[in-house]
Amino acid sequence: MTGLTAFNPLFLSLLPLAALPVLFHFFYRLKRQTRPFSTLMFFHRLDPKLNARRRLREWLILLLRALLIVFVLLALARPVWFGHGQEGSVAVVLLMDNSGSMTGAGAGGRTKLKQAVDGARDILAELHPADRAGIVLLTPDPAVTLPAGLSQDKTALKLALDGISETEAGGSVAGAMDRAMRMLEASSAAHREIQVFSDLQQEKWGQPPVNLPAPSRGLEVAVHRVASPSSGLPNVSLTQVEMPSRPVVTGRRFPVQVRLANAGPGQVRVRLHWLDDAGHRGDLELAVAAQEEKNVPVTLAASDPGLHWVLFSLDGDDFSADNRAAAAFMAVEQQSVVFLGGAADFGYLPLAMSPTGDGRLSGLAISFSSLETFAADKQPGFVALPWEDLPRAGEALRQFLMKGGTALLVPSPKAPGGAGTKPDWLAISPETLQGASNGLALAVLDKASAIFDDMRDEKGGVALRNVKVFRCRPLHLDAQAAPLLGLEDGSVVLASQKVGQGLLLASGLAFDPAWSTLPLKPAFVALAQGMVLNHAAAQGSITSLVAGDPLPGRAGEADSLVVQSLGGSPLDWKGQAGQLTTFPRVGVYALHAGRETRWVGVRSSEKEGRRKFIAGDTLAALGNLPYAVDSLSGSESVRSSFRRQERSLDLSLPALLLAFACLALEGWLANPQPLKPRAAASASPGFASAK
Amino acid sequence: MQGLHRSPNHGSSVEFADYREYARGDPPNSIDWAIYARSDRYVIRRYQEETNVRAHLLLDISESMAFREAGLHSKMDYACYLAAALMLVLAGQSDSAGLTLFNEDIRRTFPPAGSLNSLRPLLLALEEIKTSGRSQIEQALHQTAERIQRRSLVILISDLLQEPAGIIRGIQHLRHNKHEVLILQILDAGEMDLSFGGLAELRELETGARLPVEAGEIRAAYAREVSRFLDEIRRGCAASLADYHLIDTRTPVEQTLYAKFGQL
Repeated sequence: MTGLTAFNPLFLSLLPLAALPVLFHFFYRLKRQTRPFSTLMFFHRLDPKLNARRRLREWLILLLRALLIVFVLLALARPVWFGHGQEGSVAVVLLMDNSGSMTGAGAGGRTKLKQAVDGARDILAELHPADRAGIVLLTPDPAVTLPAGLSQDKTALKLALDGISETEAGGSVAGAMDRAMRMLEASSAAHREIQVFSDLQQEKWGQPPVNLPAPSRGLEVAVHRVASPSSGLPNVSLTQVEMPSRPVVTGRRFPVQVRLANAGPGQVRVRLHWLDDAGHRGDLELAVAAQEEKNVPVTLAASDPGLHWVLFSLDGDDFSADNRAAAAFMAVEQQSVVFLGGAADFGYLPLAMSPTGDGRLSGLAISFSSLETFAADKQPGFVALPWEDLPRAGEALRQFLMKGGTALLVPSPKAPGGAGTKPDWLAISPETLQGASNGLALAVLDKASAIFDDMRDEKGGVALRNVKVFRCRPLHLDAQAAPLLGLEDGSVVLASQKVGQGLLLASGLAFDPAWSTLPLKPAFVALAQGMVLNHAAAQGSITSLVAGDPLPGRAGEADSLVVQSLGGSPLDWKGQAGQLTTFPRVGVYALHAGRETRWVGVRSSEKEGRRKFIAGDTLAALGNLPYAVDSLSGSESVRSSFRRQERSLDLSLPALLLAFACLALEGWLANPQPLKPRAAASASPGFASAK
Repeated sequence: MQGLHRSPNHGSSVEFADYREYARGDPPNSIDWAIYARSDRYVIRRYQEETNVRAHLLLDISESMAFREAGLHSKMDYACYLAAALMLVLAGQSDSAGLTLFNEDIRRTFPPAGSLNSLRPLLLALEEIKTSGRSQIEQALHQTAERIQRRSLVILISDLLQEPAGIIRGIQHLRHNKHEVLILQILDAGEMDLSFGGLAELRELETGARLPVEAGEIRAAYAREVSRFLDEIRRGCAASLADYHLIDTRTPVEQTLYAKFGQL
């Protein structure tokens, strides 16, 4: 910041408005009335220079009006002449940009954050004993201990600066400026300043502010731009980790989609690493083309029920603060599936649900039992029984469903008989067996149903094609039932009905190749297991966050909160809930508030890897705040800049006074005193005496 | 035909005028012997010669005469009415009246006419007048003085909006040639006092010159300057033994005739 600086440069761009009086002058000159008059002799006799005098006065008035506009605009532009004026005590807030983008390399190979800290230390070194300083972080970091408010303790301030470390988060400029201005509000210092150290990433500083508070009188903002040299190397961001939508079953492997994005101009080869809470590691080398978003499937498994997490990271690209993600998930115990009847009653269904029978591959442990045993065992789970046994199951089945169990009614492929009398609570009933020698195509009637989740393609469609049905018992549905699968002739062959807390699935198809080709399709395995896992419930609340984003659904701000780090960047914190606004780094954290515990998985902000930085002097994020941008080019430049800022002369008032002077002079010229007559010899009264 | 007015010439007539001392060359038969018998002095008895008046009307037709703001008529129309009325009055009294129209030069001249019939061309000319050009009053007066051989009554009808010194020189020329001079200055009240307000750009009728003026700023000084001008004219006329009348166009013509020329 050197010499003369305007804190509101927008008003300087309005200076051409000073030409308005001249335009108005010519406009009204065209419209001015012209009066025919017999002679101008008397005017010339009165004052031979009357016209010239009047023209001179008109141009003077025009000049004054133009100057009035110029001075008013200058006053609004808040020009400040640094290096001049009186020196006094200073209250300064050092606003440090500790967002992820500052982890990039700056000039000289050091990180930009390190350079910013050095610049802030230089300002601390320039403070006089009466001066006060405070520190505000762009991204609140609970791991950094900062002095509360303004302090004269330079040692504590320097220690706090040294404790600032890189984050993987974005940040809110408006929020940080708000905190800085609040800190300065109580100060009575002659000069109040906010010294900003940032790389001015477009993503944060180029956006118009939201809820930016109005600046207090006398506040000045100096922005020190930390240079961001281009390395020329490409960058890949880890933009998302997509976990399964349903609870993970212990022992069952599940896919996780890791999304990578390369916004650069060239292909880059990176290596994706992952590490889970059990210490299992994996990595994968892959190439990401220019401007490509790539989904990388990673297969994981949980060995025990409960909370688990996995940490993903990338290496091989140029920028590291957007390369990590932590995801937490809850694993439930192996699901028990009870078939009430013999294996022959259910066709290929038991095999599809659990190939080994003990749940090692699918997480589903199957068993065969009799209807009498089922009546004694009413724990919620999954049972399958033939339609033919429905009359005998009766009330026991209803109680099972009311408690939250899931049941599947399926016709026996051996000798399908009637379902007998339909219970009152059942909204689904099978009709008589029908056949189609050429087969009828099977169609999905409710694509949104969760039982199809494992069958979806990339576009969300259900991959169930070319299935022919030769035999079936079409289902008749009442209003409470919902169709899931049907035939091309409109018949429904799979439907669901909610009963209490449970779910009843009813099939008109026996899962046997003689009935349809469905058991021969790979999608059948997913469908069969989806019917069981659809209703499995997970305990606990898990939130996925981007580093730097506000923590949603916080408890009361005064409530006590304990944060425990489970994986990723360590953070052990205890305090009032309102003091923890965000997580600045990647990790999995448990939040204990009273008896309630919830978990947060934090991934890095991919926006921090975007390499667009503001090169000019206009920062949209600062709105109407009075600010000036300067390049951080070394200790001496920061010190001299601060010294100049410390002694600054606000030229707004002189400009305003000059504007008032112009206004007064213009008023005097525009309202002249009546012209005095020439020294008269003897006056003649004209007509009155001539008559 | 004898007129009703005194002639400026003295001679033998029936109406006594005054006495003067006898001088060599006077006819002896003009000596009043009765006075000689009483006072032993040779005194010549003088008589007022009664003749018909020869009047020449000089009418200013320059552009400035077209001005009208507060008056009943424009100055030109007013001057024409006044001239016509004077000519008719003169003709009605067995006098004769001629007419000269001028601006920067003499445009038309009509020889004196003494009857109503012979006045017709003069009256028609008055009806056809269109203002034009710039007035050169002094030059018109000089030319008239040179052109009129017999002693006459010269009536100048004009707004006299020129430097007074030149006009007075013209009048003095006429007086030097033994002519009686009557000056009728016709002005509009809007010329005497600026009747408008605010800023206006004035355009001079004769020259087209423009001048932006702020009326409020200049009104008082302007009125004072006009008064000063009229005073100069009036003093010059008095010094030159010329009759002078200032006429306001707001006054009806017949009223002006009665007030100014009732004794005519």
